[in-house]
Amino acid sequence: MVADRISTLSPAPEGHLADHDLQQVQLSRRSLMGLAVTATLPLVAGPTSAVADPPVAEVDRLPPAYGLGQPVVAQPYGQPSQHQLGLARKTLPGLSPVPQNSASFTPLQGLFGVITPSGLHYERHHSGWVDPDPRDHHLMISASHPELIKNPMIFSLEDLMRLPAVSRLHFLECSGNTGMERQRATAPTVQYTHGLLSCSEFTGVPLRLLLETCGVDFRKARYILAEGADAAALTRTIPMELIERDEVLVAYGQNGEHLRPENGFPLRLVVPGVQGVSWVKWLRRIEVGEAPYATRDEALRYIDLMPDGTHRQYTSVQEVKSVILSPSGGQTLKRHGFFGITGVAWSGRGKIKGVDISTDGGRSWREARLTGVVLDKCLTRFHADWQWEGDEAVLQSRAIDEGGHVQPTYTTLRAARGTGSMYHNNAIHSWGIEQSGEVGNVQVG
Amino acid sequence: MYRLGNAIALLLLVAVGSVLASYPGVGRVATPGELAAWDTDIGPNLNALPVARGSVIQGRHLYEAHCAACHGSDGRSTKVFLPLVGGITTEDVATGRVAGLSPPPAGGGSTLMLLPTLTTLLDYTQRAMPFGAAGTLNVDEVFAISAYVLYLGGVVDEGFVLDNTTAVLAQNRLPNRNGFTNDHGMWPGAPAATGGLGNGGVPDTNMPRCMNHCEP
Repeated sequence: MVADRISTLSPAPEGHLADHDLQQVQLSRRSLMGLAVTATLPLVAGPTSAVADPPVAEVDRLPPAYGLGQPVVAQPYGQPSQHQLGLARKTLPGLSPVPQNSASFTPLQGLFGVITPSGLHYERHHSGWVDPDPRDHHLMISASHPELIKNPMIFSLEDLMRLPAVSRLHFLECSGNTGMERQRATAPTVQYTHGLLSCSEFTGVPLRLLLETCGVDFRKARYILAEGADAAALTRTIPMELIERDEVLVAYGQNGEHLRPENGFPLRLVVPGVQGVSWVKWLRRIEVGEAPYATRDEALRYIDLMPDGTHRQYTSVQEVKSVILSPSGGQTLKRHGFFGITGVAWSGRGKIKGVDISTDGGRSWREARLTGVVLDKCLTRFHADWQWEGDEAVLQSRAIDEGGHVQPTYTTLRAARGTGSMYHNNAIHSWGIEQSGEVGNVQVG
Repeated sequence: MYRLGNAIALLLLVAVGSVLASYPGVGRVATPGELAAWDTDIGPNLNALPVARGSVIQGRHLYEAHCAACHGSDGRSTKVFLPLVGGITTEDVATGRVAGLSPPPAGGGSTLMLLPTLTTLLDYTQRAMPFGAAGTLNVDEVFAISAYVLYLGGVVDEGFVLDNTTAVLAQNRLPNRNGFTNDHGMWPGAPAATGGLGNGGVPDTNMPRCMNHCEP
């Protein structure tokens, strides 16, 4: 483990959710993303205390060259380094009794920049994932009433790929992301607190173009129903305004290749800024209509319970949010000195304008640097410099979007919405640093 | 001259673009048979339900055969999914507000504690149930099973027959029919004020960007 000897920060161990740890804490049975949850998590993250490793070991000779390597095409589809295989999607044991109706989390703690490798994109399936033959998969554009459309049409994947395409980078976040943290600090690592989040370049056809081709009456048809071909035939209502603004895409491409099966191959809807459930996978049909549809996943699930017992319906926008990815829960700072703080910020209402960092639990803040692309409804990477002298600290990030919306504290979020909903938790997240260098999940306020 | 040339080129481009915008040869018109076969959703309009009929009595047998293994014979099993029924009172049926949702119920609440619209139950049962065998129930069976679930929850009595005319009776007895609001800032379309939903995108958690001596 040479990498471990010379590092100053140990990564979160992958054994965080080993069976013996899982017995420790039993969460009360709650609804996460509409799942019956009996998740078990260790509350305390710390694996080992910090050991003051020496700096890079002295190497007084030129290290040997690596010798003759593998031939070309030894791996026709390249794979990550064998030293990085621990970076993988993971689910929570007990998250759902039905593994086809469950979720897996993106290992955000090990990613750079803003693009999520397609194989690490988080999963949330309602009836399992499929890999259909694209020759048998078609998209129908229809209407709830014949007057709303001149020509209902059917398109194949090949048809759609002939049409003028656009490519755009957007984040995709499940509205249940960070849901387990709504009442208290719960999950040990950022993979589980924020890993229902990914970001990709999507390529496809603007849905407006297809609706215009079909002769949709935009004056009357103010909503669409997007329907998947999965066993749940998942459906969601989307407002026509987003389609008229050319934001909604019928996508077939992701990060330069076709969509992965787990992400809806061959077709998925892209609805920037809106929660993941609306990005319907294995997209089969778009129906235009005059009223919202009150489908199961917008009347029984993905609804936000308020303290007075009412539910907010059609809550769709993912509001301004950020999280520090390093240092983060389960990691250990092994030496004093300089550390870069880095993470991602995003808003379903537009671009990120700024990110602030606090190392004292939110009493004082300073601006972080935005260190990559800053795009509409896309992850934005931030960095801030930090000296750690061995004191306890609480690290926080706070995003501000171009509309001036400021990511709320837990105090503010709970004052507005209570703690009854597992959805749309965009509160400021805290990582506590112990004197030992261990980083754990804490909440302040 | 140069600018004029550019303008002409632009005009030509616009003209060509508008011709191409019809995309001949891409896709084809769907046939009436295809439209009927693919249109499996039951929309939100109670006056436009499919013609169908199913009784509680019929639903009991169908439910036992197709649903009870996961949901339990009483609709209260939590073994696989959240419970279908439970947590509602006769007063909830009268008011259309489920008192048991405040404070939030442990476990998230049963389907009938949440359900605001009957069409949601019919639509989902038709599209997605039984889990793993979706599409195997005909529409009369969907109505019968839905009627039986309402009966299990105490919403309708044993003699109830659900059809296009009685659907409104069931709707008006749903325990949480008045429990929903769209008064929030998280709908990305037009606001209620102009015929859409919500408040037009005004967040409920606006904060100042405090930099020093802040409240954590």
